[in-house]
Amino acid sequence: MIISFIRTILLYIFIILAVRLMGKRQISELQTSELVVTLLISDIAAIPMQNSGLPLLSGLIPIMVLVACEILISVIMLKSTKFRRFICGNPVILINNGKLDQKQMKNLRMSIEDLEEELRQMDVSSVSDIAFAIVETNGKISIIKKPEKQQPDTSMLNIQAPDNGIETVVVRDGELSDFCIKLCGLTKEWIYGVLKKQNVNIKEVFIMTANKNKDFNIIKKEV
Amino acid sequence: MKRTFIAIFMLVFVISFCVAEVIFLNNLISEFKSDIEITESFVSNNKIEEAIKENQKIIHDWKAKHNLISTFIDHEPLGEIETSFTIMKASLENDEKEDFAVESQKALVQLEQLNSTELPLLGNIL
Repeated sequence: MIISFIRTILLYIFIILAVRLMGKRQISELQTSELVVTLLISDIAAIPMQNSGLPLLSGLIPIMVLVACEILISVIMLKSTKFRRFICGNPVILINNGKLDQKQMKNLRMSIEDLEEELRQMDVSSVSDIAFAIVETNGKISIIKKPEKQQPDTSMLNIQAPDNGIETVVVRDGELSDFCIKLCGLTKEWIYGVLKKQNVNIKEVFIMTANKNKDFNIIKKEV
Repeated sequence: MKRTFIAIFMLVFVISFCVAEVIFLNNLISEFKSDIEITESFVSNNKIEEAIKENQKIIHDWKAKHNLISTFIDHEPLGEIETSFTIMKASLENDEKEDFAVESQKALVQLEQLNSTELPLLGNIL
């Protein structure tokens, strides 16, 4: 049992390092090759974890090979569009200028119900509202609404919107976040000054958010 | 770029490790096979004392290298080979030459199988 425990810990650390090495793409939207690698890694890791009769290396070596291949393939895909198309395929235009391409839907084995379901999740009530719908290489559908169905933005309405920049958590659980302070262009001194004015000790802060216009919000710890 | 170098390094490391493993295992098994054959020749020449000594040397060497081999080889066949070596020893001590002959042949076959399963042959890959 102790062997299973140690092996699980080792594999856990190794897989975290492997996924970290593959980069952020691996933990968001998966392309074909990334999906294959993710599925394989989880399966391969489980075998030596459960079977102590197998050497741990029989799990580690394939994971190392998969991670290396995945990274090298993504580098080649960056350099060669043809190779990228070969591995990831091409995006498919489902609706072109408001016209539904039934042939492509058939090719994708996608029913109109599937398409409507996807559209509803994007707050689109009708296929007739869409000018273009594209199935991306990662399987997600991107849409561009018809001009008359698009929401107007501030430039269309001739309104000057306030630029508050990004609101970040500058203090979390009584600790300052240097990264977030830098991100919204503030200083530690300003934060300490605000806390002093509010008569709050930094250790009492659960969350403090602020933006570049020095608008802030403080939530104190309850306990 | 750093990731690419790490990936290339990993790939080179894995390939080198796999090649080294095959060579190491091949040499190791050749050593054990020749030791078994020496023991067999001692037995056929009725030199039982020498055969027992040679067999003890085989068991000792196997135990010394077992931990290393088991880091990259399935543990089950290793256990079977060790059992064969132990039975060979018992057969020699009890002067059961026929049993020894059977067990030594079995050990040779098991060693050969262990070696061949690690070779990058088409049969093994497919």
